[in-house]
Amino acid sequence: MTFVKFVLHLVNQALQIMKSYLLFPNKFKIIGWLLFIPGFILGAAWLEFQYEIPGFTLKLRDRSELFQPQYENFTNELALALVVAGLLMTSFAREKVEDELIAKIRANSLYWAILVGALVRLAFVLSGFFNAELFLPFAQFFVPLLIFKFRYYYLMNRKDDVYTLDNLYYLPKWPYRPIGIVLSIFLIGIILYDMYNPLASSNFLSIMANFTFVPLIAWVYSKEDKEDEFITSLRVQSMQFAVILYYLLLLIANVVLYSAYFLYVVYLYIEITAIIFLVAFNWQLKKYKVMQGGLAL
Amino acid sequence: MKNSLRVERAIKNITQGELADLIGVSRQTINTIESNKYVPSTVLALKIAKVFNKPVEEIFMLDDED
Repeated sequence: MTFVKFVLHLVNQALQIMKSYLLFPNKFKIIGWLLFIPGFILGAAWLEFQYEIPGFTLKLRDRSELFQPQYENFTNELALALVVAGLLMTSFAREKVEDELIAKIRANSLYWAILVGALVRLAFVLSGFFNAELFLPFAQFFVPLLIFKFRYYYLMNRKDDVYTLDNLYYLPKWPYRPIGIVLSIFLIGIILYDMYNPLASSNFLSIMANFTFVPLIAWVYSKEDKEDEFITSLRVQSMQFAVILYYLLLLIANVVLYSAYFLYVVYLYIEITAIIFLVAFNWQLKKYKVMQGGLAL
Repeated sequence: MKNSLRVERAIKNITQGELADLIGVSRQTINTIESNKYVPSTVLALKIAKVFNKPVEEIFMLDDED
């Protein structure tokens, strides 16, 4: 129960961040990189050379079992925490002089970065089928934030003295929305089924489940009937909220979950972000429409 | 939307940096507005108008495209 309360508390905090555009102080921009870079190197060394920090170990159990060794080395957990916390800090640190245009560029860049991140993920997944895995499936989770950093930096510094504000990219509502919804629900069903019946899963459908993020992204990026300025602002705010919440969840999962469940949280980074976005966005949209209905009366 | 911010600044003889400090935004944001690349929020437009002591619509005007 206390754990549920703790999570609710964090969600509440994240909501506050979204509402007030509360950002980290400017110094965190540098501090974030100082955490990310050693974390990244440590993580790469762990993946490539199975490097473990000597003595960074705890005795967790009396004897070893499958996936549950007696001694647990925390090198990979530390690397993930450094990478995620570092990128979050540097991504959401305020500028020396912060204003509405910068906030808008930040939010738009993030919205763009998730779309491009999904395309990159598609390339990663497809490369896996050709025996040429470009990037380990469980080491991709931070890629969208990295794309965001580059996009934001580019838009802020592309031209001397002038910021660049990009237009948001949309898919038309028809046919992407309905196809996206149907396929998303179907494939999420398969993921859940596989999660609870790891041995009974059918091969073809399980492979298809690797592409669950594709219809979800089509659902997220398809336009509303009347996509006005206000709806657009809800959209980018909801995405900022979804990204922050996902990475906070990842940090928590890093500590409390292990083996397969943790890997699901790491691997499904686009899916989880998209689902949080859809809940947050549609919930606010519904509130807005109720409000509008009231005015119409 | 177009604006006469650059002209108003010249009349009042203040720099982009000074205007930015007065309303609490970055200098580049003022420059981006002056280059017609960004439409400021109503709050920001009102703050700018207040600095020049003029109604908003004398500084910001609708364009043919709007």
